Amino acid sequence: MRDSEPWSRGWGDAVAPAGTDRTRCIQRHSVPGVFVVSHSSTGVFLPAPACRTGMDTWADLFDRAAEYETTVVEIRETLADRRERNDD
Amino acid sequence: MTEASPSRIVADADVLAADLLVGGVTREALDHVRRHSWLTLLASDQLLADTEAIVAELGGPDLAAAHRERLEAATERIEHPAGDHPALATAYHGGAAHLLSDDDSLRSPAAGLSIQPHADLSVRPPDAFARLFDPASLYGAVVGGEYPGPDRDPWA
Repeated sequence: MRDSEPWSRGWGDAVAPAGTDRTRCIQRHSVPGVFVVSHSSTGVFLPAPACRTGMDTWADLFDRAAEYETTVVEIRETLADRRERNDD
Repeated sequence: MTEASPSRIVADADVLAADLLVGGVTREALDHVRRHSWLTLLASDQLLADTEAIVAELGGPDLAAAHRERLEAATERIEHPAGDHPALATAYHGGAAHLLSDDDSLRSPAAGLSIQPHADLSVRPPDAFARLFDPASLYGAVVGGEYPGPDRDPWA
């Protein structure tokens, strides 16, 4: 379904979709940590702000978080406890 | 206080943590924000610290640190006095028109009466935001012209 979303049409790998292999990121700028991704068919280099060394994409984070089972109620209680402690 | 803009949005720490750890309608709500570059998610250091603490307790410190790093890159930082409610203060000082929260107390009539004189702020649970979000009309009001559709991968 995500492949049919408008952001993906015609943009190639410019926005580094979920599962992008980080080894495909090629440092092209002198700014540390700023990378671009090569469009596989055209060779055009486009900025890929999410494709940085060391920072997970949202897709990576959601994958990692999927192993934890929690609920909105637990989250609410955890936040309420923390803010109550901070108020004391 | 910055004048409130409908393009500026705050999600309370419980919503940011539920986006990561639960998904569902909360993730749908924040996906709306992530997939439009003309919408801005705001956060203060206190709000990020609350979120990191929740995720650390329920998902571990490594995941919490990685999530915070991603949030820091995805949000505009807002400063507010220590001791203020992090989400409300971020919305107030950052000129947000929308606050996503599962905290019933923030959506009570009493809370509304205390918030509205100071900030033009709509407090909604994420499921309501996800259901009512209308990008075409919002784009017309914020940017102007015909809505071109989403312009970002929400999970990048």
